[in-house]
Amino acid sequence: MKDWAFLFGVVGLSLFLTFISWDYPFISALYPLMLLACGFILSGIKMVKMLTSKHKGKRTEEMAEESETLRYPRRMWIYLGSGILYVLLMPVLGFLLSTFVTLMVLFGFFGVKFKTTFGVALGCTVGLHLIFVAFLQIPLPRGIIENWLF
Amino acid sequence: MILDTLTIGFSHFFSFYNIVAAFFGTFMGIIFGALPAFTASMGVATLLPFAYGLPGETSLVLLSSIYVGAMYGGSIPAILMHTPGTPGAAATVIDGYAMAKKGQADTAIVVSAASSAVASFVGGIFICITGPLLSFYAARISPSEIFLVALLGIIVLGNLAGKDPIKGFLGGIIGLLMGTVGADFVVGHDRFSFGVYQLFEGIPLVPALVGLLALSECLTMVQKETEDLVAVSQVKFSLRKILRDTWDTIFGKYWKDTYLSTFIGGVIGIIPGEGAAVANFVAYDQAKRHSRRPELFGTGIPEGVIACEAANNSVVPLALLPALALGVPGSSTAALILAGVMQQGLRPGPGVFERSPDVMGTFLVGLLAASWLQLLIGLLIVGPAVKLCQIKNSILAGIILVLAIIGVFAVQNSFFDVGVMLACALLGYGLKVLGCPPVTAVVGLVLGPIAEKSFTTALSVSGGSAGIFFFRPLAAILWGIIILSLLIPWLRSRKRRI
Repeated sequence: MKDWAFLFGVVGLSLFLTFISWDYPFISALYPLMLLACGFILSGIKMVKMLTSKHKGKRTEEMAEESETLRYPRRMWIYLGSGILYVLLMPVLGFLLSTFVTLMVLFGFFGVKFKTTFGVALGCTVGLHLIFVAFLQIPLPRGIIENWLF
Repeated sequence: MILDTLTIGFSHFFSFYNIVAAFFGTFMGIIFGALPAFTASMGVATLLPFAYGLPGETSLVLLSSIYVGAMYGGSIPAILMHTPGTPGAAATVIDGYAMAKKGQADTAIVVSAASSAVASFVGGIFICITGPLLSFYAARISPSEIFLVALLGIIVLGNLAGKDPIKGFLGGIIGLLMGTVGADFVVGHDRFSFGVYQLFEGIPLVPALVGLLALSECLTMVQKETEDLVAVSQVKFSLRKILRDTWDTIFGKYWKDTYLSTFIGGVIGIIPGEGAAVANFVAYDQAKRHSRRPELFGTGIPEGVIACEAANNSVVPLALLPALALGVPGSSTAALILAGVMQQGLRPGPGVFERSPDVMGTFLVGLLAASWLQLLIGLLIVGPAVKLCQIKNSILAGIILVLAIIGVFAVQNSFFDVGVMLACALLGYGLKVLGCPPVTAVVGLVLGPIAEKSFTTALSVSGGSAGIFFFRPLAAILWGIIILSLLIPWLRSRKRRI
């Protein structure tokens, strides 16, 4: 199933990009079209191989092996969401506060003990500030705390 | 030429920034290597944005030191916790953990650090000699052959997909297509950017690599249950014992094992796609075959640890050799280092030692320095590294998220880059879930511009004739190697079925 999803994804993407690159000048489109052709050919070979495969039993075993137990599937979205939240908060709250808040929220959702969460969030915020702002002298978005402290 | 490069390298390396970069890189490499869920490539990917803000030579010293340190770092949890920190330390578990259980954890750690140091150093000396020569002669090859070398890199690294090389090749094509986004080399026509002006110069490399390798791994990590790792014994070192074990490893009773495994690891390392994970098992097997007491392997003897650690560390410089001299990375970590070098505006590949002798010389000296630094730092931070291994994956992933976002933002002060990183993290995760290692796309993305540029240049030179890719002696040899690289996985799978 995973293989089919992957192949349909590749073929779909290749068709879409072929359609788009049709209007490009020949010299600009040549290389991408060559890659897309390779994508179609390889996907075709793989599809034929899968259809003619005589080792279906073995494949099922392999698939069972591959499907690892992911105990917290929702955490992935929480993790990505925290990343987006961080990016949205940073211009508003500044680097220091947004880093602290994001880590507190993220670890809170992950069920980490409050003491650990607080310590890691604070340590990480201060550490990153020291590395980027104090040592590398890279300007990061400023907010309430930065304006108050520095 | 070799001596010139080294002389320039020595004169440039001994600056405050380069020495700090070598120390910090080795230290961080050992830490990343010691963390069981992390690998050398994740370490390099996470710290890639830091390297961007540094001078070219310093960034190369930093990245290669991380790579060197991570290889040794993997052995710490392998010996003390029965869990290899990196795939390259998988075989170290066999004798290392057995030694720790017998109360010889200190000896296991010291011989591991010493053999790792010797192997990286010998490998480093080898590339000091061959690197400038290879680069010099490679500079004489035509664009059509450079294209074929890039093609070879994608094909051999496509084999990283393991059971299914076709998926690996398709992953490589996805990476190559990502590399075509933006203005083309010849007429500057905008391709696949969908009106997003930030993409006109192409997909930003650092954010894409951090997303594809580091964050995609974190997305998997946070979903898994963390095992509670417990160290089998506490390690206490005495200076006398350290010196004795180091002497035994380098010059004393284990010297043959050290140098044989270094040689084996080096040979495997130079073959693109065959990394430390393969090298340590092959070296372990060979050490057992050549040993006077093979029956003791697996019961906890230093020779077993030395074989694995010398082999996986000698892979590092040899994997970097084709990356820098030919522009074809020998491993996923080498591909990231290559990308880091390209971000600095350097052009790795044929002729790089002549174009940038200061940078390459500093890199070589830095590599040699990092080899010995890992022995020093590696013994000092065993205790903290073990403690770090016991931290939950979710906490480490949270720290990496913040670090990656700030690091990528800092490269160009752009939130767009952060968006690219998050999108690439999803792409990398999707690829992994569907059974295609994201590293194949990384290699494609890194090699894409080199491949396209040489492809279009070759066609322009030949007046549009495709014959330039076939009818030259070197091209014919390269096609032979490419065909062999395609056939070998197929033959292997047939043999396995029989």
